[in-house]
Amino acid sequence: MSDYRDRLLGFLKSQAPATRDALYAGEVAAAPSSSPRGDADLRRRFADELEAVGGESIDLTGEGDPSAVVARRLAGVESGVVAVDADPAWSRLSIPLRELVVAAGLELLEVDGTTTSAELADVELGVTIADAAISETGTIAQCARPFRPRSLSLLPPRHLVLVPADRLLGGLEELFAGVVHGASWSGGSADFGAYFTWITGPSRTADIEKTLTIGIHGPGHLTVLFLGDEVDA
Amino acid sequence: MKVRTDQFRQLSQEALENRFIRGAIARANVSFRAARVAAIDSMPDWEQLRQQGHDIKRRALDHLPWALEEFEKNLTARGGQVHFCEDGASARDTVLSIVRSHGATRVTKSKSMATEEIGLNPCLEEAGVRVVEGDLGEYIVQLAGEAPSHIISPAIHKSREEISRLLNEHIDCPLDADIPDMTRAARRALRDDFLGAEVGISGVNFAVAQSGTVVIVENEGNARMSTTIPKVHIAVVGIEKVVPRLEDLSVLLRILCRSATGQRISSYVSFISGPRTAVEAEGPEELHVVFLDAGRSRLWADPKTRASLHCIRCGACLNFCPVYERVGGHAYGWVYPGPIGSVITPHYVGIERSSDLPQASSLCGRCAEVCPVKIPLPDMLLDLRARNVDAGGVRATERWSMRLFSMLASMPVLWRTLTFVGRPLYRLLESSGLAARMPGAPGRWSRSRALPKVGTPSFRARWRATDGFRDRPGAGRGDRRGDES
Repeated sequence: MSDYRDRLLGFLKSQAPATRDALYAGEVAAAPSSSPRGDADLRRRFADELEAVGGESIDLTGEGDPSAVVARRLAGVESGVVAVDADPAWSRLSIPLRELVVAAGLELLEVDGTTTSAELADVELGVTIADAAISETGTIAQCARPFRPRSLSLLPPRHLVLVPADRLLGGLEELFAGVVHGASWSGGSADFGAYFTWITGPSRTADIEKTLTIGIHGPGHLTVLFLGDEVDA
Repeated sequence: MKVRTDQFRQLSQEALENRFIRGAIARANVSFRAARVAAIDSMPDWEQLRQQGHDIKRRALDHLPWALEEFEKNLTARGGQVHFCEDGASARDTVLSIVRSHGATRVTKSKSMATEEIGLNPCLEEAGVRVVEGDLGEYIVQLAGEAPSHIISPAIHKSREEISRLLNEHIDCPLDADIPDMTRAARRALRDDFLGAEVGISGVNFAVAQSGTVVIVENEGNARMSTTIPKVHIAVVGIEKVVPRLEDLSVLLRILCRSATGQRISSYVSFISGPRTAVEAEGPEELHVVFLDAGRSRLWADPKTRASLHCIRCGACLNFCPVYERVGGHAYGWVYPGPIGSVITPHYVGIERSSDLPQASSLCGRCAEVCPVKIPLPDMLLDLRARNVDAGGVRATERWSMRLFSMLASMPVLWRTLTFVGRPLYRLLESSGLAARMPGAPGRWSRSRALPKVGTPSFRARWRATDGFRDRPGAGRGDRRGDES
């Protein structure tokens, strides 16, 4: 195998430019003219895009009580376990999730770096905080972190995501630039970890007669809450 | 995968006679096309994006050895392992030895055309490994013992009735289930497979050199399952899938998702840059990226075929191809159907075994117009036809009839005389339906086709009357958008 590696690369190099310099030389494409701009436009566009693919977006940056909205989502869960990530950002948010879950008669699972997929398999609702959100496509982005297992946003049939409004970006370019140049949400380094996921709406398939069906392997319900600065401690 | 490209005539004839397949594919194509048009209407810079996509792929391929080396270096630095395989057999061996080294007997897979190409599933099954496809369409064709018939919609050739019978036979799903019920039944059945799998195998949409990242685009979540839950993740990827930088993905993801399904972005995009870190309890402990050559370096080295490696497997050329729409994906006899299949398959399996594929095109050019990375598919089909002629792969009847045609067409007097006499005879043939009742080749040809209409007045008469069509400004091909509506 390694033998073939050298043979292949040797053959390719015999017919390619002598250095790698130009590989990264091309100009990075600018955002298309249709990309959203401006805070209010960003949130409106995010909501439109997410709703178009069957997700729910709730803007709590102006009025609205985040705790009451979360309580209503919890009331929609008939029974079972609610798993919540241990994102340090929770301390900035004035949402008493533990109390809300108990008040709704549900069980709370606080996940951490030791939580396994098997434990998450029976969870009814996963609650997470997004690292970033992309307005252009109605997407939330999450890195794998010790406090946020990879499948917390995948195995439970419902997913509730909180997005501090300052994490909402315009287009895909902004997100990649943030990753590469080390935006604060990506841990301040040019690194999003070993696993980085974008989620846009619920899981879907159209594999049977091109008929759109929501909720195949991932969550069938996705709700995104935008939280304004006033909820920050 | 078994190669049946030499049976194109027979397979396409069978497909043409199957009314369900023709109807289903035509309906699917109409819906694919409508979704794509809507998605592109919302993107005024579409043509610019296509050019950017083309430029990115071109830069990556121009520097292919460097891009591969960079990818290897960067992924290895994060604990991933990279393998280079010359052909299908060595790729199968590589995957199998990884699976065996973990004593694994249960594997889940996410959609991957590269693994279809190397025939991975039968190889693993022979070794006693249970392989389950996680993508619903792939799962359906796996249960049916078939191959996918479309790059992104593998079970497009099957009716809901067929699928419900199939699911009923294999899993807990009632016969009269509707589509949402069937989907739920598959979800339940596959959950156990995902949770119990020891190895997950996936394809790759893009491999990013600068960060050593494998990018997987999907809608169902099955690729996330297969790359998150098992303790080993093996990604099988053609060497041409490497792209320079993360920032290049904003263009590539936009054009891929819009061209494939008409989505702005797929439900999930996963960026995997290594096995799990020491502080995580979840995620694979080992990540293997298996680069597959299997003929790609040969296509790369030939300037006439290199651009075919730009392909990002969106399937748009299938959805717009009048030939694919009538014969379906299986007629092409190997992994890749439609115009891109006709272009790359002969190079992978041998031109002499697949001489009919480049002929399976009217050269209408729609495939090149919709290709998001501007692959000149019709030019490549013509090149393959020429190679086929050079190799003597043309039947004597075809060669002689072309010689006869060229002789007549270069003798104006003879041409005029023959068409003058021939027109009324041809009209009679057309209106009476006599053609289909003729014996031999003409009858066979006519039975499943309408005869081409004879121009009235003739092209030559119109040319004369309009001074070479110069009196009709804008007369020419219709506007692209108008064509599609």
